[in-house]
Amino acid sequence: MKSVGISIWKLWGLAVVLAASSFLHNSAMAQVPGRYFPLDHRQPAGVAARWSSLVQPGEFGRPQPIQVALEGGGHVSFYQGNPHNPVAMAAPATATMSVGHVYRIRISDMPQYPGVELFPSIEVVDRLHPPAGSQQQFPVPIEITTEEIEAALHDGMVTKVIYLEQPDFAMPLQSNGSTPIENLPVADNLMAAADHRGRPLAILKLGGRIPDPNSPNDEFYSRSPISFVEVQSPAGQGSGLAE
Amino acid sequence: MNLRFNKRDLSALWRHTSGALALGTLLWSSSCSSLDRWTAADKIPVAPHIAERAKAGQSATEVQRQRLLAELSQVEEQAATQTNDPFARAEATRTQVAKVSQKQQLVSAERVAFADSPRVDASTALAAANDQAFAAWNETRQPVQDSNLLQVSAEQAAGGVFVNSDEGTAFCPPASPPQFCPPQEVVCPTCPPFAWAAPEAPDFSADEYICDGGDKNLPVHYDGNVRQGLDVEDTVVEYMDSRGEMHVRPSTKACVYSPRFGSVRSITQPNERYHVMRATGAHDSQGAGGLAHRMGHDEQVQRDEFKDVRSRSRASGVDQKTVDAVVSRDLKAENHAKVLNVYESFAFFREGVFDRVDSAVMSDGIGAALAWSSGQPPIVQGHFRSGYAVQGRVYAQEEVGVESRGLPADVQISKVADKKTALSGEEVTFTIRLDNLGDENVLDFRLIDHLSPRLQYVDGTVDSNLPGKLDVENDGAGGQVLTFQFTGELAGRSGGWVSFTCVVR
Repeated sequence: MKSVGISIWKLWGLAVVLAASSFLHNSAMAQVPGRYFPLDHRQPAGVAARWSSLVQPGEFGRPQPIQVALEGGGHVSFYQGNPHNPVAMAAPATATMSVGHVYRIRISDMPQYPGVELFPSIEVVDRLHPPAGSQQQFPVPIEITTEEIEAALHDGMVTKVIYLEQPDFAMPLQSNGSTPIENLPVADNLMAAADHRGRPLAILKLGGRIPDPNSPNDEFYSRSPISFVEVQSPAGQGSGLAE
Repeated sequence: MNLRFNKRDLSALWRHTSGALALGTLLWSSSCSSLDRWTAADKIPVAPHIAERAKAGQSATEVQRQRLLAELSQVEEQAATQTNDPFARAEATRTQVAKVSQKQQLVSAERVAFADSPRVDASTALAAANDQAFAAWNETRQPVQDSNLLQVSAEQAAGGVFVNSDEGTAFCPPASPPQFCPPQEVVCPTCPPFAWAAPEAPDFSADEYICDGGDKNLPVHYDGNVRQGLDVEDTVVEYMDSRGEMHVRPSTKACVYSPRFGSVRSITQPNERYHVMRATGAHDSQGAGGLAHRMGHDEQVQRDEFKDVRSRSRASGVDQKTVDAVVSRDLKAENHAKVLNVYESFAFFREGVFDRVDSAVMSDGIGAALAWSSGQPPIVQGHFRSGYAVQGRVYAQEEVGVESRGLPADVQISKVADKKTALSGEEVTFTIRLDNLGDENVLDFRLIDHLSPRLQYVDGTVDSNLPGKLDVENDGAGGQVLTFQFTGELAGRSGGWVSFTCVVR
């Protein structure tokens, strides 16, 4: 029995060593000069939001309006835990999501892609702090471009981290109304890149995965709290409900 | 029945009965003593009004119970007659029950020697009121429409309603997430009456604002005639006072809420092999055979601190310790440390100046230098300082000038924006106010504004009540530097303003 006990301790020690070596290896992969980022965009959906909630416990559950826009137009449907009763809106569509949660949406009725439905996920990592009463005027914009839809239809996985631009590092260029996109190699850590440029707010993951229509799985849809407020867009582009 | 007792049985019977009698006597005496104590406790003085009613035939416990029940029923009747709103009724009931509970606590303080007093449980009544409020709230909830159509309105699907209040239109969500409920000032039928609201912390994040003004990072200063430290967003005023001295003062900071977003993206294809690329990366191989590591082996460190012999004196004798095979190099011979005596003057060594009265010290120094340099003649530099003094006379009638008893010029500037929030593409007008808080005039002054990279000056929008001109130049990084060069003077106790418009990028 004594020899068995020693062997168990040896196994434990070996496991610790392996875990430490694996951690060091992963940390070295996720490390950029000067800072350490334990998270990257390849983590499962919800990990970054959960870590953010642990770091900032007071931010968990805080509402944050999210505006989903489609480059070619279409409809955006928000789910609330099951495939029934989705809330469909004409893009750009705004919904109030909560920090620390993952949401499943559906994009459909795209004129350029008739009959195509995609189900991207949105992970809310952080939020904005606008003055009181103007929360709905400043949603976090998430734009799904035609290129991203094409990539998803060709079995590609699009991962996009939307960040708040650091004012000191802002490019002195006039904004054209859309969020600039910077393509990075797949080996790069998007979370680290976004943190270097500003403050990560949301993660969009778009792939070709669709739920099985014959046996709908409720786990596919988010149960995260969501609410909707009808907002009058200043540009007149509308964010109203679908008629 | 034939009972026969022998002596042994009688002896046992006596032992048992005597023990029982002794136990009974003990219990009787103790009960009597406890009764005595209760009797003594009844003699504790009670509250006058309770004692008065008790004399009238009612026990104090009954008086309290009846009074509390009467008050509670009265409260419920008032709540029922005042309004038909279940929420208002529940709220009124809760308020009154709390008051009754408070009174009950006061009454309980008066309760003396009545341990069996029945109490109206205020917490139970409060819980019942809460249940009543929740039940009323559940009755008013809008059922979710069971429809598979996509064209379901958000309001119906969410089960919430819009409510108009003094603070505008508020959305009342369905029951579950209380964090979406508006503040309690808004009467929201779909929100629970006890919706928990997190305490509001200061909600501010500087990275969401465009700020302009102030003096960030290194303060603005001049290296010769070159201005340094004018960072992005800095706004300063340069002015010359009546004495010809230049001053720089920063402005206040004006911030406009205008977040701008960006995104980084990567598209992973099914045949990506980035893990393999990373495993054979150059970083890992360099780390294994780093150059710094080999240099560490080749380093030769000569430790001069070791001495050849060290000795200690102890009570047990003299302990000597010799360090073998140590290269010792006496660095002290190369460094000359001169110990200055107390009578020596430091003036000559510091400044190369000595007085005639220090000639004796000079001679000693020369002698010491000769001895130390082993006969080589030292070179001594110095000059004599004579003892004559400059005398002058100042006559009052020769002073020419104007005595100013006022405060020197002191220019303060403040900067404000006409908007609190702005989207990209909107225009924001900044106004800068200059005030000379001193009594003297400002002779030459200009205003310099290094705009934020998110701001772009709109040509022709500058306006001011002070004469001058505006120069717009590029800062070399895509930003702009505005220089308002004013002509004329800014009188004491006066001021002016400048305004210009920028578009938010």
